[in-house]
Amino acid sequence: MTSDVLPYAPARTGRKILGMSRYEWVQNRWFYIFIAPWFLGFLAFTLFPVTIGVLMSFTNFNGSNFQTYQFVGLDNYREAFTQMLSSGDFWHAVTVTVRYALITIPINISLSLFIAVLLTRNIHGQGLFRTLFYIPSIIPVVASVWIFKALMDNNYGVVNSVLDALVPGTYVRWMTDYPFFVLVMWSIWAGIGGGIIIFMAGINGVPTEFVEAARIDGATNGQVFRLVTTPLLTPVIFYQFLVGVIGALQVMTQPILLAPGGLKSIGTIPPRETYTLMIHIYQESFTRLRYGYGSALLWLLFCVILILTLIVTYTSKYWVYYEVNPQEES
Amino acid sequence: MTPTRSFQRLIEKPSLYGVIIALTILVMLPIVWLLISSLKAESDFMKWPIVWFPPTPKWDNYLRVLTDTRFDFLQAAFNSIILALLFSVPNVLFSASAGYAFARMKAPGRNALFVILMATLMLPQSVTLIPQFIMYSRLGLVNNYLLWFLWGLGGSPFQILLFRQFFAAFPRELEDAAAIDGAGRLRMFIQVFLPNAKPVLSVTFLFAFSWVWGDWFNQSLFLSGDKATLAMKLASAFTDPRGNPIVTLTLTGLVIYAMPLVLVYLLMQRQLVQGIVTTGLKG
Repeated sequence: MTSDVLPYAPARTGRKILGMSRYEWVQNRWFYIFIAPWFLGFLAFTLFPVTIGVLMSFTNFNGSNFQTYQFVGLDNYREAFTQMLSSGDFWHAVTVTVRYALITIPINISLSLFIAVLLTRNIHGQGLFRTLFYIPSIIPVVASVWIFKALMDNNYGVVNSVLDALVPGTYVRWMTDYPFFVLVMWSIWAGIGGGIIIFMAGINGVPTEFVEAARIDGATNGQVFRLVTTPLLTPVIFYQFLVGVIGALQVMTQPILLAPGGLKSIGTIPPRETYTLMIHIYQESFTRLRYGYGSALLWLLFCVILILTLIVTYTSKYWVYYEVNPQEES
Repeated sequence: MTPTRSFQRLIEKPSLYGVIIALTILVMLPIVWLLISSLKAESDFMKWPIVWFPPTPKWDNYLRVLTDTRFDFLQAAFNSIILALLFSVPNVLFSASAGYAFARMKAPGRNALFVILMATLMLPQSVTLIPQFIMYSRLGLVNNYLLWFLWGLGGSPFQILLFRQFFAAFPRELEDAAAIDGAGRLRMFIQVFLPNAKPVLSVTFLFAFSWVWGDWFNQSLFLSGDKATLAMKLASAFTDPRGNPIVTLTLTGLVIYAMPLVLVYLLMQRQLVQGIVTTGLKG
C-alpha cells in the first residue's frame, strides 16, 4: 500500500514497524496479530528445525558433542550412496519402503474409487455404507494393528482357522513369514475409508447435465464412468496419489506395532521384510547415535518425496483434467 | 424403457447390493471379531480349533481392565485426556484466528504467507524429527506435557485451512454491521465469527483431540514412565503377574480406547465428512 492510494496518510514517517510506516501498521496490524501464533509456531517447529537439520547433515554430531562436533562436508551423503551401491541396510530399507508405496497406493486408490462408484449408483443407504467403510479409519492405529495381530496370529488367528476349515491342515505363519503381506492388508483396510468419502463427494459433484447429456447420446453406465466421471475426477485422484506417496514413504509406526513380541517401544526393530526407511533412520540416529548421518538420510528422503511430487505435478498436465483454471484465486 | 433395459436393471440392482454388502461385511468383520474377543476368557481365545463365540460372554473383562491396579488403565486414560486437551484447545483457538485472518483481512505479504502455509501442509513431518528431538531435550521438554501445549499454540495448517474456508463464506453484511457498531477486529472475531462457527469448531476440536488420542509415535518418542498414555500402554499386551501376555484383556482395553472416537464419529459424521471433503485430507 502506498500513500497515493491512501491520501490521508500522515506525512510524518517516524519509526517503521515490520518495514511499514506507522499508518500502514495500524491499518494492517490485526492481520499480523491474528496469524502471529501460527507464524511463530512455524518458525519454531518447522523453519528452525529444518535449518538445523540441513546443517546437522554435514556434521558428525552424535547427540552429545555440542562443543566439539565437526563439519565433515558431504561424508554422510557419500556414505549413504556407498550403502546403496553395496546393498547395505539403507538400501534394503529403501526397497521395502518403495515396494510398500508401489503396492498400497494403487490398490487403495482403485479400490476406494471402485467402492465409491458402487455407492453412488442410486442405492438405498448410501450414507450408512459410507459410515461403515470409514469406521476402520477412525480407529486409532494402536487398536487397528492389534486387530490384525489377533486375526492373523500364527496359532490362534481367525484367518488360519478359516483356511484350516477350508483346506484341512493348512497352517501359515503370517506374522513371522509374511509380515509385509499383513502390513499391506492393514493399510488397505484402514486406508480406503477416507478415499471413499473423498471420491463419493467428487462423483456426486459431477454436474448432472454432463451425465444426462451423455445418456441422451446413448452412453452406457460404463461409458459414462469412463468418459465423463473419470476425467472430472482426475484432480482428486492426482491429489490422493500425492498425499499417498508422502504418507507411504514415511511409514514407521505400523511395522513396529505389527512386529512379533509383547513389549513395544519406538526402538523396536520389526522383521526384515517390514524394515522401512524411517525405521532405519530412527535406528541410525537414536540407537547408534549418528544424528549427522541420520539427518542426511532424512534429507535424501525429503528430496525423493520432492522429486516424485514434481514429476507427478509435471506429468499431471497430460492426464489431469481441470475444468476450471487451476490457478484460481486463493 | 425397453424390456431388455428393465431386465438388465432387475438383475443389476440385486448384484450391486450383493457386492456392496459383501464388501461391507468383509470390512466390518475385524471389528466384530475385536468385540467378540474382548468378551472371551483367555483360555477360550487361545483354543484350537477356534471357539467362535464365548460360551458365556465375560463382561467382567471390562471391569477388570478398568479396575485392575496392575494395568493402571484409568491413569493412562486420564493422561491421554489431559494431553489431548492441552493440544486441542489452543490448536483450535489459534487455527481459528489464523484462518480468520487469511479469510477476511488483507495485508502486505498475505499471499506469500499463505504459500508458506500450503507448503507446510505438504512438508513430510519426519524431516524435522531429529532436530526437534535435540531441541526439546536441550530445553527440558522431553517427558513434559508442555510440549503438546506449545505445539497447540501454533495451530496446524490443516485446521487453519478448514477455518479459512468456513470464514470466507460468511456474509459481508455481518461484518459491516459489527463495524458500524464500533466493533474492532478482535471483538468481531470473538463476538461475531467464533459464535457462528460452531460446526467447524466442533469438527476441528474433534480432529485435534483424536489426533493426539490416536497418536502413538510422538508419545512414545517423547514420553515415558508415569507420563505414559493409553496409546503407549496398549501398544504392548497386558501381562499376568508371571509376565505372560493376556491378549483378551488387551483387546478389551482397545475397545474402551477406540469406542469414544467411533461413537463421536457416528454422532457427528455429517460435519466430519464435510471437513474431510473440504481439505481432501483424512483428518
